[in-house]
This record gives sequence, C-alpha cells and structure tokens, in this order.
Amino acid sequence: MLSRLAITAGSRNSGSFIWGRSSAALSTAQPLSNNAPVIIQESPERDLVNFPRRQRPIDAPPVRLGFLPEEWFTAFHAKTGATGPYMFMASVGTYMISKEIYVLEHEFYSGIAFAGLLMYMYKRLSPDVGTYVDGLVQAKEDQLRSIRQNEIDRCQASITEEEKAQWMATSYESLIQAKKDNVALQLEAAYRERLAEAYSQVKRRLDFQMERVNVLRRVEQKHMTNWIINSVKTSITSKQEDEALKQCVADLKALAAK
Amino acid sequence: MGNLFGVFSPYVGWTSFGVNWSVVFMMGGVLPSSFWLGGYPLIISISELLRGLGREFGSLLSGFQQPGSLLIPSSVLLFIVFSNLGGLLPYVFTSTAHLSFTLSLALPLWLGQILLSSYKQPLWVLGHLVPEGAPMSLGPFMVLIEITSNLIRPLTLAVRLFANLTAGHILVVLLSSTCGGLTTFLGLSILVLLFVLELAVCIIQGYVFSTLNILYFSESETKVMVLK
Repeated sequence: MLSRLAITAGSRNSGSFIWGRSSAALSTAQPLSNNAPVIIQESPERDLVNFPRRQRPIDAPPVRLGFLPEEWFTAFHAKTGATGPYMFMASVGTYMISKEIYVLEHEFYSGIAFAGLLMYMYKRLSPDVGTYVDGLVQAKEDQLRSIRQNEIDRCQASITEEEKAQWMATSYESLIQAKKDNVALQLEAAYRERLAEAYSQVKRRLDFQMERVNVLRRVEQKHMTNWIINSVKTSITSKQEDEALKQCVADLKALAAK
Repeated sequence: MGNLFGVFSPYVGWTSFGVNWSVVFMMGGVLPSSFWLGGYPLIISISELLRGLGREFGSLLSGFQQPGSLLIPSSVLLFIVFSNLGGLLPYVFTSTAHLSFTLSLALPLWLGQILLSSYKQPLWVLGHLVPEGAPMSLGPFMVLIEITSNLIRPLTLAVRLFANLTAGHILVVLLSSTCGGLTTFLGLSILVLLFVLELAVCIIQGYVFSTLNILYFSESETKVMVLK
C-alpha cells in the first residue's frame, strides 16, 4: 500500500520517480481518493538499456531433461564444453552411490516408478491438456482485451452516430432551402398569374376603346355614305334618270346583238 | 517392522522434534503467484478446477448456498489433494497419513456444524434424530443409531483418509523394497500400476472428504438458520 501511495504520488510530479523525491515532497502527496489513472513517467535518469522493462513471456523458458534451465548448461559451455554439466551430474551421482552417501533403497525405486509414470502421463496427456489450457488462457485474455475493445467499439459507434446525426442535420438546410424555393416558385407563379390577369384586363379595356373607336368610325362612315347617297339621290332629276335608263337599254341591246 | 513404518516417522535421525511436519507449509509453494494481470496456464487451470468444484458443491448444497460457504470445502480439498500428491513423491513426508492430522481437519469442521446447529435450532436437531418415514415403534432405537452415526462422523472422515493413504504407502514401501535384486523389473512394473491407483486414491480421498463435509453441512442447515 505504501509503495502504491508513493507511486501514485510520484506520478503527479512529472519527470521524477519515487527514488528521486525527497521525503518532504512525499508528505505533500495527494490522497488516493483521486481516481485519475496512474501514468508512469520515466525519469531521465532511468537506464532502460541495461535494465529494460520486464516483458511478459508467452512460452516457457527452455529446459533440459524436463526441469533444468537451459542457462545452467550454456553457462558452462566455455569452461567445460557441451557435455560438462552431464559429466558433472554423472560423476556426482556415481560418487554418492558408490560411497553410499545416497543409498539405493525403497524410496529410490518408488521414485523411479513414479518418475516413469509421470513421464508417460506427460507424453500422453500434455498435447490435449495443453490445448485445453491454452484455450482457457486465450479466453481469459480475450475477456480482458474485450473490456478495452468494447470501450473502443462503443466510442467508434458513438462517433459514427454523431457523424450521421451531423449529416442528417445538414439535410435540414437543404430541406429549408427547398421550402424556400417552393415558396419562391409559388410567389413567382402568383405574380405571373396576376401579371397575366392585369395584362388581360388592360387589353380588354384597350380592346373596348379600340372597338368603340372602330364602331364610331364605322357608324360615321355609314352615316356619311348614307348621307352622300341620299344627297345624290335627291340631286338626281327625272330627266337624268330617263337618259340613264335609255342609255342602259341601248347598251343592253348592243351587248345582246354581240 | 520398524523400517516398514519408518516412512511415516515425523522425526529425522535422532532428533526428538518432528521436522517433517514442516511439509504442511509446502502448500505455500504449490499455489502459483502472478505478476501479470492474466494468462497464466497454471493459475487458470486451478481456477477452472475451483470453478468446477464450485458447481459440484453448489449442487450438493441445493439452495442453502450462502456466500463463502464453498470456501472451506474447496480449500480443504486442495489442501488434502496436494498433501497426498506430495506424499507420493520420494522422500516427501505425507502429513495426511497421520490420524492426528486428519482428525485435526475433521473434528473442528464437524464440531463447528454440530455446535452451531444445536445452538441455533436445538429442537430441529433433536427432531431430526428420528428420520422421516421411520415407524414410531422403532423411534428409541433410531435415536440411538442416529446419535451414534452423528458422533462417529469425524472419526470416519479422519480414519478413511488416514487408512487409505497409510495402506497405499505401506504397499508402495513393500513393493519397492523388493527392487534392487533380480525382481527389480517386475517390482517396478507393479509399482507403476500401484502408483496409478495411488494417484486416483489421493484425488478421490480429498474429494470424498470435502464432499462429505458439504453434505453434513447441508444436513445441519435450514432456512431458519439462514434467515437468522
């Protein structure tokens, strides 16, 4: 607990790890009720080349004879060669058995039998058990990763939803513009209709005036022709009429002789 | 004869204090610790085992499952199984092959249940001394039989575990003592088969111990006790 308090307190002072802080600064650390995530900031004095951060191993380290680490054998290669550790084990074993420091009694033989049984069980069962346990490990890791991945997916989905909402919001502008255009079209149509109405009304009135003028002229012309005809008729004497008639008859006889 | 039971001696050499009993603390080294958050095969195997055990024991408790009621049986099972399995290894002292040890496990568990149920619901305990469906003419005898069977439970639990392991170890010692001469190969072959049996016995005995504990616990518990 104290180390955790110190680490969380140290993370709030950027650039300095726990080792580089004085006790006075430690005493002024904030309480653990702050739920901010702990961000480990590397001190510039930290040597990551010679003392790298520990990596999680995926596979088991290599072993010899099932349980002895490989490093114990390779460490002696320069001094004793590849068979050095084996010779050591054989010679020490032979010494202890021959001097009866290690007595071969019932525990030894039961150990041989048990070791044989364990080796057989390992050879026979380890592939299936390993596959099953790897499945369990993978399920656990997937469950842990899914926490982060679900959060990321949730954020992505909310981003997509927000973008979609923004896109849908932009459609209102075009909708409003379309409505404006519609209203403008209606206004234009109304204006043109009224313009046409005004035109027709004006034309009707002008036509009426024109017709009135035409009628007046026609009446005047008719009256004038009638007056002229009547004047001519009254000016024609009976003598002229008789001569005209005689001329007409003579013309008709001439035409009939042709 | 002394050599035959020398395997079970907690004393080493001429010392008069039982150093071998320190193998009881071997459990501290058996269960693995973790540095990383997840993904340890051994830890996950044990947690899956405990989860399966929880399902098994939960079905036995049949409705009276209080939070934490499976902790003791599960830990007792793991403890007994790992102590037994450790005892199969050569030169490792089997702590569960001693009546003092197994009785120390069985007696407190049984006594605690008896005392708690007697204190919380004495009439219920007394009433269940005559099983349901038994004819009342046999009532007095049934009471005596039930009392006897109740009182003998810790002894049966302890002696079952102790006797099984002791018998198994004695067989192993006898058979492996024949090795070293002409009959080595024959002895080793039979020893391998015997060890298969011993492995099964180790696991089964631990399972039986904790299952019986769960059964006795579910028998002594009722809804009245749970509500109180």
